[in-house]
Amino acid sequence: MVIEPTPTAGTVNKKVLRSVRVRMYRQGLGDCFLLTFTNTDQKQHHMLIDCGVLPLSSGGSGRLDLIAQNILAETGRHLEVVVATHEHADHISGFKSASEFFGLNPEEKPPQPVQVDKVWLAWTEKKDDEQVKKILAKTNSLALAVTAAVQGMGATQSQAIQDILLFEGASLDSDGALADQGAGTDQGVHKSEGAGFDQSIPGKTKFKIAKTMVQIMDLLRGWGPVDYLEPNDVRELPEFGIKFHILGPSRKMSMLGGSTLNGQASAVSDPGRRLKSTQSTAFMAAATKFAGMELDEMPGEGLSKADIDAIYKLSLPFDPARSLSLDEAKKPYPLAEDAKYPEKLQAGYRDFFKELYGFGDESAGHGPEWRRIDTDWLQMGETLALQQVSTINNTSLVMAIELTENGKVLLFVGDAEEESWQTWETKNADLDKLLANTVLYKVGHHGSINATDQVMLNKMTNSDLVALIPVDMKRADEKNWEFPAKTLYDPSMAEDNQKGVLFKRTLGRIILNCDEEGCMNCDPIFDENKPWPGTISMDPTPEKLWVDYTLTF
Amino acid sequence: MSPSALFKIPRPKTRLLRVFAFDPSLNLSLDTAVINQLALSVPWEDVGLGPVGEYLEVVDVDPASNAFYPPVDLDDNYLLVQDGLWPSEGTPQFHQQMVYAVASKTIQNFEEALGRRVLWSPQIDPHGREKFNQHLRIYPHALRQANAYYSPRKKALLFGYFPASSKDSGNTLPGGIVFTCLSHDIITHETTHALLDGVHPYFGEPSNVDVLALHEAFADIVALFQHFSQPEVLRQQIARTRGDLSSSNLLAELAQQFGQATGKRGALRSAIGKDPDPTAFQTTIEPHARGSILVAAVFDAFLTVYKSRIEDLMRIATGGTGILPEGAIHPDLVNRMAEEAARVSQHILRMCIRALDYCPPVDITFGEYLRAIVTADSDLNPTDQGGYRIAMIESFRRRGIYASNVRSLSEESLLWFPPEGDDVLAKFFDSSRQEKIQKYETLQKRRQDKRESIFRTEQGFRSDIKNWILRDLSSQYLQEYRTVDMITEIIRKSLNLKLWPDDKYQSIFIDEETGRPEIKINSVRLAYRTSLSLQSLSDLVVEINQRRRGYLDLDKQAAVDAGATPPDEPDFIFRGGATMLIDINTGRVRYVISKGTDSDHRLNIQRQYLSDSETSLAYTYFGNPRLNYFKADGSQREPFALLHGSDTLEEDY
Repeated sequence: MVIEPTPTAGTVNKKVLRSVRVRMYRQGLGDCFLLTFTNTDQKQHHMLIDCGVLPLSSGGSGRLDLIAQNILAETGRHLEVVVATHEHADHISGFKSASEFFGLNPEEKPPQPVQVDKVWLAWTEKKDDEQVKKILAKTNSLALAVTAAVQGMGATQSQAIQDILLFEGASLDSDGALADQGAGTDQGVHKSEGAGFDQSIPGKTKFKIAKTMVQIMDLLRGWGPVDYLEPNDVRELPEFGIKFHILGPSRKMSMLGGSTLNGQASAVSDPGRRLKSTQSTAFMAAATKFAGMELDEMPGEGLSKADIDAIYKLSLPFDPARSLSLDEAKKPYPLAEDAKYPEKLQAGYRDFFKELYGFGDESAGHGPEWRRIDTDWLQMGETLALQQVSTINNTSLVMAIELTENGKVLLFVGDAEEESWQTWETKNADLDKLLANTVLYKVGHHGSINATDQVMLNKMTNSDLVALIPVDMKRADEKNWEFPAKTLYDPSMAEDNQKGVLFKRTLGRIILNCDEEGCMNCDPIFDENKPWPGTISMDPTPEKLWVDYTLTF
Repeated sequence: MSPSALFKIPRPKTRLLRVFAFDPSLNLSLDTAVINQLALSVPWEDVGLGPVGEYLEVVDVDPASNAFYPPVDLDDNYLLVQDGLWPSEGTPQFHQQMVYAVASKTIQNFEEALGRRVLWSPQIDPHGREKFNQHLRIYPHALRQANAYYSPRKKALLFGYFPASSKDSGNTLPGGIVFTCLSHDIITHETTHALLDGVHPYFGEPSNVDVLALHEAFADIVALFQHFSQPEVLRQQIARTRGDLSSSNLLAELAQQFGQATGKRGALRSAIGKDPDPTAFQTTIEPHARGSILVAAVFDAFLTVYKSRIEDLMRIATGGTGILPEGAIHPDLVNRMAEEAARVSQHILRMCIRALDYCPPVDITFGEYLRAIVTADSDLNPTDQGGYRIAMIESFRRRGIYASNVRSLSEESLLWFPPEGDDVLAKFFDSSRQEKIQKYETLQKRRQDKRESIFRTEQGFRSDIKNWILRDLSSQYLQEYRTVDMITEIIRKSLNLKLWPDDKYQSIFIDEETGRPEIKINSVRLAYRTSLSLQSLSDLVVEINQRRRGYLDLDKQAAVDAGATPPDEPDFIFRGGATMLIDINTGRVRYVISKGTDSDHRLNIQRQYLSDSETSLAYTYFGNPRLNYFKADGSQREPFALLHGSDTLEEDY
């Protein structure tokens, strides 16, 4: 099906840009966009922005294999630019799961090579950058704290956190328990790299931190020359009349969220200075101990086992010699007949805790189970998990693609949340103007409520504005995630005018790539009766792999 | 003759226990250190290890540190002679002593204002039965984070501790450990949550934007006015501000150290705001922030009355000019001003606490709370000596807080009505029932020392009252009025509940035994009050509520209401209810304060409130906390946390 564009007033000058095609792939909950710019000389420029899916999305990674092949076929195995916005499975898992097609798998090279001219990454991927080290220290310590919380709470209580960790590369096995699998690999091809309960260790289940995302970024660094982009950077393609304005992530640390303190970042551990205990390190130190995790080092920067022990000691509220440990309190404390006052007191303390708090045997007069608080403190793991995910979302590369001949702008924000939006920088352009000229907005973070800043959205006043939401509502519903947020876009109120802010701004011109049925069983959703300024077309094959939005000039 | 007959040592009435007047941070400043330690006088009881008393049990378990801290024995002779342990941050036993003392004081203030023993909200067993809950449990070191809360499920207060922020931590050592259980204000605040939950179990249910905010506001109001019951603090602060309590001062600030240590620079909340902003009430949603509007309104009323009460003192002290000379003011003047401040603050606090018996049982709004305050106070102080009510009405008005359904802002129109034109209801408690009520009163009075018997007797009387209303009252209506329409109308006007099945409201829960709409008597309380003019009043406060299934989808709601679809699992519970105040001496129903189960207007407001979202990632992943409240699957989070889960940690990296 092809929908003809509503005619718009053409420009008079000699043009170089003929068309822009934005292909949104329909793999499930994740982003994968292929942008193809064609100039009047029929030259093409292909740009791939992200390629990932959340594990067990309705499409799954098998679908990403097909998508990878489609990308290569479309581009003649030549990608001018590959962009990876940030380190989350739903944005980059495909570079690993479909690595054999992309030629990224060292063991299985495709018969024909794939040419990549440039890999664009945000400055937050620069390994030797001092600020990046600080961010890493933060995310690593958060990840560790969250991992420990999950393990301490046990599989059932921590379900909500585990679900979030899917974005970090954990995945579920067929038994429903988090298994130790790689990102996006439902078939378990890349075992033992994701976060998950490792069932292979008998007795206590161990929870591991995902390394998959880091590995994928390494694969990408080897794919082509890397251009680490900074805010205010501009990249140009004069023969296509295109400017790429890099708006974020900002160098201000406040863009990470979770902190109101700008600029003056200091790592958890500053070599040569004293160790500091903060809320999250104090929590992390206790949670890892509670979960029985033996740490040889902090998997971030510069914390040895001794440092971790020191942090734990620092975080103890009182001298441990003046308290009873749980095991000690449980131990029987037989009193001799001639027991003296101190012994009697000791026995009294133990009885007190047994009768009030209880050690699990209510029938023997132990305190009631429902009043115990063994794991309540670990609920903070939820806050930390959110902070971890937010931090990484906010490292998203944000770019405004300006078509210089007509000033129109395509806005790709990755999963940047409000804190990022509020710190965007445009020394070389007027941000308000870029927003006012935006004709295509790739909605941030699958349409979640805090990944589209309302003030900025209201500045997108162009009458041609359309929005693309890469979302899988089936998957989101299963997990009770609000993707897309109803205040932004409410699909259930199709005939109602109050379909959310995004609906108002775009006059209803929104393309969702999946609905409640998931990607494979439905068409993308959009209202064909709206006055679309560009052309919409869909994959005619039964796979329905993509939906295109094309602007022609 | 036994030796005890010759001389018996009387039980002491009170016990003195050392606590921080505010929190440890005030010890670090010379001008506040002197007033920061005081011995709090709490009612005497045998406590033993814990302390474990009549109302409270302190259990000091710290799972994050794998530690049990041995319980303090306040009955130890050494401790008895020195008013308990001396304040110390490094001694967990002092922490136990302080939470016990401050929580006990809060309970005492509450009981004195209400004129009865307080009960904690009952534990609901797996069969849905209510079980008496003797103790509120206190865990002084339960959490390793900057937070503290009352957990309605565990019937416990959980206090956290945390390393202070490395920057802007005020008086606190950066990275040093801050204990929320050493903040006088936080202990009072959390204890008050538990007390309020005991009186009004449905005030934790997020049915409109005001409900949770009222919980927070009320807890802050009690914490704030408790400052004024400490004479040394009061005198010192009055001397420092030269009697002007509207200038910045310790009395008006809540949780100093917590605020500073979490990097917020100042106190967690301050009652002295900028000039009242009438639009804030329209735009502020977050419960703590919205609650602080109400706190500011009440504190403003306090200031107005206090100022008018010290005007004469000012004139005497200044030879009529009312303008104080530079420098320190005379200690006698300080004492007199402190006396006035203490008296006014106590009256205002009691107004706020007594109003609880005049609130609707469900879905409270700020406007209704104002009406409750005004009505309760006017019962006791009909002429408004001191102008308390005028001050209160005025300061609510200045913040744009109005009662709905009233004709004007005058005091008379804010008073609750007696059941209008309903002779049946008015006469209902005349006959033998009045005697039963009086018998109930006598029984409950006799059991002052056994809260468990109070609970059981009340449980029994609740089912009596339920029978009266469902059976006797219904049949009385049938005798009096001919048509069903007339009856329905008259009950709607008075009780606002459905006593018979209604075809139009089939979403209302039906009692399987009777086949009629389910009603639940929440409580049958006795309220005694002595007025300024020593007039004494005693009321029976009966609270009834009724449940109706609520659906987010309008069509679904309409279909279930009309009986077109079977009523399946609702998205939320919508409640109606009524509070009746019955004069024990005459049996007359003095007031009925009701919220209709059939009010579609209210249902829409609740639906809208539950559908609105917050801008946070927590919302995306963990769902709408307001809706989660109504889910049985455990996705419900703690509703009364000092900070909520979606708040980010303020840390420096």
